[in-house]
Amino acid sequence: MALPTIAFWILAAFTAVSTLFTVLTRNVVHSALGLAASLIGAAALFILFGAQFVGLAQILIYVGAVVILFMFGIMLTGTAVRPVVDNDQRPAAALVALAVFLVLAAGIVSSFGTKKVRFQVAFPTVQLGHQLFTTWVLPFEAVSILLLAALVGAIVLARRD
Amino acid sequence: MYVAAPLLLSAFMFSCGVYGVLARRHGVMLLMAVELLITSANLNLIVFSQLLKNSLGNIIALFIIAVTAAEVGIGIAIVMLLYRQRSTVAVDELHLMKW
Amino acid sequence: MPVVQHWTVLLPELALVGGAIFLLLIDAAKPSQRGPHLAFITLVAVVTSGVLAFFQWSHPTTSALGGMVVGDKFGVFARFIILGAGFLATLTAPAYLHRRGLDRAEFYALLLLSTAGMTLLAVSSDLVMVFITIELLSLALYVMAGFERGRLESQEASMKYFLLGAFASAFLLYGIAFVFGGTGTTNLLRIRAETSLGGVADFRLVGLAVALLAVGLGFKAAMVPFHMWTPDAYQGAPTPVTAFMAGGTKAAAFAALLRVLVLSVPELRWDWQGPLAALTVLTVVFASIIAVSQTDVKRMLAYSSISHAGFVAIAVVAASRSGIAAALVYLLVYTAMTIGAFGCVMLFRDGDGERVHLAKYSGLGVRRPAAAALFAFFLFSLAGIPPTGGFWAKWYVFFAAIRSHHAWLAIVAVGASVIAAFFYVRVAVVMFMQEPPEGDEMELDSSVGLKIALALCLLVVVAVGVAPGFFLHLAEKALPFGG
Repeated sequence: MALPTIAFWILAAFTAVSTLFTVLTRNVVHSALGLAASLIGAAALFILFGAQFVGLAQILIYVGAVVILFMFGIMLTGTAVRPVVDNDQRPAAALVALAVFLVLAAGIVSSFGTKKVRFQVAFPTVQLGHQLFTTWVLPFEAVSILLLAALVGAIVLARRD
Repeated sequence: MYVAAPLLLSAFMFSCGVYGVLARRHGVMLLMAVELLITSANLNLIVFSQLLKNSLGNIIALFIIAVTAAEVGIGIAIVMLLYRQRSTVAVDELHLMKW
Repeated sequence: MPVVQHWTVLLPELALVGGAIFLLLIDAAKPSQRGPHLAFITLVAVVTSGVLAFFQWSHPTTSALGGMVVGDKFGVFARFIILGAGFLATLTAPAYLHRRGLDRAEFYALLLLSTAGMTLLAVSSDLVMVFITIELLSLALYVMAGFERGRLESQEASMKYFLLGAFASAFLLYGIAFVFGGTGTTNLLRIRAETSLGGVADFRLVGLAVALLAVGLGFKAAMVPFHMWTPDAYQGAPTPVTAFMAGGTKAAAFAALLRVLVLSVPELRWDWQGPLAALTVLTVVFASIIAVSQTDVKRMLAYSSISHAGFVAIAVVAASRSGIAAALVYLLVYTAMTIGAFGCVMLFRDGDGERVHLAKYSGLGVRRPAAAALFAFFLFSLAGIPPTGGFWAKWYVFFAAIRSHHAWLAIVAVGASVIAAFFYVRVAVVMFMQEPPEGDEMELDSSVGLKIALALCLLVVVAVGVAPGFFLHLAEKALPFGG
């Protein structure tokens, strides 16, 4: 096996295990750490598939900001020591998740069963930046308005009068 | 390498996220499960980008990362608001309104 | 493909966003100001936006800004419905918010940003834009639903709406990823080209993708079984927000659904018509039956709005020119009558709050005959009793279904409307046939804005009832290419 393929399987196993840990563990802090590991594994996979910039953005924003936000949420609500974790629908939830997986897997296998992908193209940041500010400039501006709405909204909800 | 392998990994992450959303009752843990769903979609986009030699998937993934970060910010604000009023983050204790 | 920079297509949205930023700036200049001038600024922004959209009616169809948005008559028509919902909600809001001490600039700024998200969704012609605009309108609505921070129901509405909305967005995203994987593009026109004869699309993958997209949009349009958030969010949110959500979100979500299903993947029609028809039947039947058992009027109206989503979806299933026109007319009438009904709930005061329990409506027709008659009129229109606008909207939808060989769908829907008529008429019976309780003066809200809003809703419902052909003709003119 080629080196990138070996790297893929190692990263895939790491990501899958930490994802499973995230949704199964009964400790809130462990779950957040599992999420961080899972997101880092995904970021490494992004880089392996030639998306260096997206991989780094994923680490910066998801691991660096979002997971920290979750940690704040856990610490501020003090539930790290007094856990309320799962509801009593776990078997039903597992069945639904299994059904979703089977539907998606069937679609994927029937469409891509024998197709192969090579790790050859990298998408340079310069190219992405150029596209973002030409063809994709309107979505870019729309996201900036969305961030404004989120900023105002979060302050409205969280401030103390 | 078969392209189905990373796509099946993504489908697995998505299913784990669906399980998490349905089985968790802790507000923050629900948000974590949503984050898994989003990342699995991003993984698909990146793999398709490489398969089709088309940078569009990278661009979409960047937008998704920006948008869902804002979404999570609002989500945490709502969880904190609930916690302040009733000292719990358990989502299924919300049952003032039925049917 | 050359990038044509027709940025003028976006002038209506710029007016809305400009209004929102102006509101935030004056709030920063003089913090915590309150009063009717904030609502006035909002109304000015919405009207400006409407005028700018009106001028696009006569323009030829243009694809603008890298194919992200399309300027066409369909978009103008949908925008008018959405802006109308925003206008009416803004008129009803000041008195309600003032009583609860919530009349802040942020509320109106978020309302404008949410409206901008909805109108932008109605003109989006790329799935990436569809996703971003849905998030924009939803994020603002999550906050507005929880704006009454001290009231537990309002927080609960916000939380449930947020969680299910985020879940739905994830399905939408997964669908977008599969569309990209199957066709190599996210532009709706190019998806159509790739799924036509001679295209390169992977049909099974696109079929799966369309199913995921339909789940995502079905959540926004509140179709059974993706409706779980609706009753709680509608009941718990401040009533002007509920009216805005019920009217605007539904119009925007269906405009997007029409663009994606009917205009972008018509070649896959045989794959999506069947499942969507099943969802439609589930929606109209389930919502009508559950609504019968409701005793809270806001919650009953929430189930009513779910069942109306089912009726619009019948027109989508028809997937024909007459189907799209019928859907547009239906959305127009539905927005006017549902905001009218929620406006009436705001009109009937009970001390400092509103009358939400059905028992509190007994004898209202005796004490306040005019207001009760107005409420009854909106309810009859929602039930589809002739000669109201609601009757003609249903008529056109059934007609489109029959013409596209879905007569069985029309028959099921007529059956569901008969069940639905029961709970609408029941409210009228309680109001007019029961004796008023002693010592309850049943005061009405005296705010001018609310009265103007109700008059406008009445005007639209009556106008469609009197001259339905005129509105159908307008909607037919608004039809985009093919179909």
